[in-house]
Amino acid sequence: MSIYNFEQIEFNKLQHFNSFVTAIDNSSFHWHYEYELIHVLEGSLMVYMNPEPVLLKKGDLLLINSKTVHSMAHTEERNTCLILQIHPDLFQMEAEANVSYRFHLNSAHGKIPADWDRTDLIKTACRLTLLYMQKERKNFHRLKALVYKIIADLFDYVPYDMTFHSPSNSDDSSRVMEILDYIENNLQSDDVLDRLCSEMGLSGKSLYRFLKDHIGLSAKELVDTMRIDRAKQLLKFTKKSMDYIVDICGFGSESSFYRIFKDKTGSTPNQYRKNDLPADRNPEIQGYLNFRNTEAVRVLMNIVEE
Amino acid sequence: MNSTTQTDFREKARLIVQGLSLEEKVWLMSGKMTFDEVRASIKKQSDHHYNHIPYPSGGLEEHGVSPMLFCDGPRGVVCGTGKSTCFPVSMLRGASFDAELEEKIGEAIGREVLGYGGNLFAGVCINLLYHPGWGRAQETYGEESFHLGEMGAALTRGVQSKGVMACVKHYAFNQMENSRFKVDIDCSKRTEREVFLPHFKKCIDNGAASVMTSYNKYKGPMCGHNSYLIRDVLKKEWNFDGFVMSDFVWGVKNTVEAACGGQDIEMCCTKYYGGALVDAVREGKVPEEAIDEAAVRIISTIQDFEKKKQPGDPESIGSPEHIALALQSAREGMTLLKNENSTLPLNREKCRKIVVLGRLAAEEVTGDKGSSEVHPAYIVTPLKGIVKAAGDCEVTFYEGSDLDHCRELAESADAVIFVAGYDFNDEGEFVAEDKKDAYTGAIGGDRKGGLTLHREEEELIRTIAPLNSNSTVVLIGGSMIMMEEWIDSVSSLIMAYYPGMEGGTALGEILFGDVNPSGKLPFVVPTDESHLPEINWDTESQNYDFLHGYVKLEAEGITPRFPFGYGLSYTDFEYSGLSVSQDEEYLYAECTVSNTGERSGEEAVQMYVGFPESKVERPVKILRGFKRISLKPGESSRVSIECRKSELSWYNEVIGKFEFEEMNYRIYLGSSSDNKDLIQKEIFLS
Repeated sequence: MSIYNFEQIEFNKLQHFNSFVTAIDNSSFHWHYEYELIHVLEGSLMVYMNPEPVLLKKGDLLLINSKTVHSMAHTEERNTCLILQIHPDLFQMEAEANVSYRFHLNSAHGKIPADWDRTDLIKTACRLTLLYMQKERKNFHRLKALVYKIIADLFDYVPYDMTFHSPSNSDDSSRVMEILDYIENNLQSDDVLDRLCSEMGLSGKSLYRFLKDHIGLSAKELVDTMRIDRAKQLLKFTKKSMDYIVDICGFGSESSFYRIFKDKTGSTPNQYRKNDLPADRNPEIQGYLNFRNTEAVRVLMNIVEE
Repeated sequence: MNSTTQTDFREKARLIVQGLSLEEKVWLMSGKMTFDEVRASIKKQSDHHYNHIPYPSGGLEEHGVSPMLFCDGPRGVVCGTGKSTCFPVSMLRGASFDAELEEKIGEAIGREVLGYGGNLFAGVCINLLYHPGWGRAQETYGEESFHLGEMGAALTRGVQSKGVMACVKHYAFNQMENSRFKVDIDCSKRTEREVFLPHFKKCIDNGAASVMTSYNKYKGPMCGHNSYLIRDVLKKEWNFDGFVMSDFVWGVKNTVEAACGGQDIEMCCTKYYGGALVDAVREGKVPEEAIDEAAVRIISTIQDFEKKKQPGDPESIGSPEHIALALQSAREGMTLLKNENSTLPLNREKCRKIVVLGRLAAEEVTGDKGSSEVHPAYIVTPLKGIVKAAGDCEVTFYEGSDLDHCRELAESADAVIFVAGYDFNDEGEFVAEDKKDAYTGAIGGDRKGGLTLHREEEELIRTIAPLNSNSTVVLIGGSMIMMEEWIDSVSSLIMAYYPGMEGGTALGEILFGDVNPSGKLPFVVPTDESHLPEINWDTESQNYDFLHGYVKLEAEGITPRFPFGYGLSYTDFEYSGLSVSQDEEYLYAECTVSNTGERSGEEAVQMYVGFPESKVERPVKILRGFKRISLKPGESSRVSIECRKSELSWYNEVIGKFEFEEMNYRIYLGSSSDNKDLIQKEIFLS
């Protein structure tokens, strides 16, 4: 037992990273400074991001780079994922500011070096998570060492590039968020994209390219995805009528709502409303569901001892 | 140095020598480093790098004779760590065709040598680039004897203006690295006199205080023992009155042969001289006059320079003024070879996203890590320079091994810059054949495996460059790199050589048009390696032909990929109004050069001379003058270039003399050695 007692938040700040096991439900588009390493322990998971959506299956490993806009959605199967979030400060090695490193690690798309055995990195991440769950001060340096081992492995084995930003350069990620916010707030209007373009002074073509570059979806696909997200929320957590949902989400007609919804989710809106879904959403972490620790420990121990 | 004051110094030196014992005289004649110390630092086994302090030889303080204090080069002063100014390598400086700047670099180097307490700079390396595969090509200025002579003489004058002795090396026929300890060079007398020696003579005529002999043999004897080269040619024919020293450790291998051959100083340790030389004199194997002569040369030269020596100032080492010269040199030497659709300069408004590919972009590409390595306070890599120049454009760097990832980056970028070429593993000094003797683990040596880029680099450029219409290749290397496999894939091409501590800065400025490029190739780029002279890099004997480089290709009617002297600008220059004249001693050529483009620019105007009526075999034409000018848009200037008529002579082997032919000569002025870039006129010279 630790004789020290301190707040977890402090612990996080000191460590500059966070690591846990969770089941992912849905998250709308967002970005954060932390790099996010996702390892699927069970089931599968959709991640929407540049350059195209990724379906992660059991055993897959994906690194979402710092400030990359992405969203996640569960699939038919439930998923269990190991998530490791690392603050970009830990990656810095150059004295210069404004350098960011982007790693290209996505086993689902074969973006993984052929001559590299990723199980070592996965085991390290599991060990790290197990240790992290103990929340004990004596683990402080060991945790840090394990995080740095993972970072060093990324630099040694995974292709990466470095981007130099001028301080005056407007940040693309904030631009993406502006666009997403605009769409989110104007979803019900069927001409949301035209209004967005005139509002932001963008041509349809440059909007298309910008979104393709940053989240891997066309503007049309993005709007559909966001409408479906909103519809799912309303279907699951409210008793609003279908007419209301069609209208408020901007689908235009009931028939296109049904068509797009079926297409994207595999079920009709009614089926979706009736289906059971995890009830205990944790509102504090976007899309992450609470996961039973004992179950997590078992899964992680299995991997470490493999 | 052949002045009356020097005669005075010789008289004084004679008087001193008369009062010295044999041991004292011989003491003057060798380096004072221990073999183990030098060996360890060459192999980087000690805390000190090679030549971290000036290496001494001789010195008899009680007789008022200072030691010679040796500082190596030529990329700057090798001494110290984190201090010296690291200039671009000589090859880039050669590409500037700027002898005035080379003289200023010499002055700066002279000041830094003094700052370290040294009194000799052994960095006037003027070995002719007979074959571009030579591992130490970066240490010399190029393939053309006249150009080498002008640049070497300028560096000599600059260094010596500070009262520092300049040492010209490696005398002679040293343009092969791996075989340098064993190869015996042969060539015709005309080749010797017209191709391989004139640049040495020019440096001697410009007062060079010292000459370093090379490791290789020439027509039998080692150059360090070679009485034909040292006694007959250098000391007698050319009236050289300074001293000769050996290349380090293995430059002499026999006491009697070296001393009788005219070798004045064994560097940088005492092995065959010292006690062994004293004994050889006592046994009558070496005449004492040979020792006296060496002692007089050493004492008179050192004392002459002691008088001229300016006070040393450690603050001058790596000073902002010197670093500014290194930057200017890099700006002038980098050579723009291709610029399709005016891809360059990059427009900061349009090129918002720039992708830089290639490992070398993020490396400190200053060249070899052998005896010429200079240790500056910082080095601006190509990538740092590009980021600095890119302003608010976004720059992404990837080392380039995954082609799929390169493809993604190139397709989403507004411009792609490839940085490809060599480092110290690919070319450079080759200390020993024994693997355990190799320094720093680097391979170096000659480019035995061919003159192309690495296969991965060629594949990278060939695959990725066509995906982006704004693609530029930046080549890093000490000499010619073959381009045939990929040049058509890329829209623009810059040869950056090894551009020194501020090379990245200059590269960025050129890519974005803050500086207009003006370098010119100091070597020809052929379309096939077989167009170059035949050479065997691992051999005990090698013949050098009369023709090599651009002169060889022109004589054989082969069109090169890029001619000698070629280099583009972001503006256009036009040549007109050529007039030629002569007086007793000189040939004069004059023409009008106009800047017809929209940017200010500098141009290296070149003069070639052809021999259409010669009775003997001559090159079609050879460089015999150059001058750098600067013109604003729309500005014109009359440019005059002169050349001593004696430099148009040929060497008559039968009578053993240079002969001037009275006949019509063809004079060419222009921007490269290609006839398309030249205007020409004939003149009867008498």
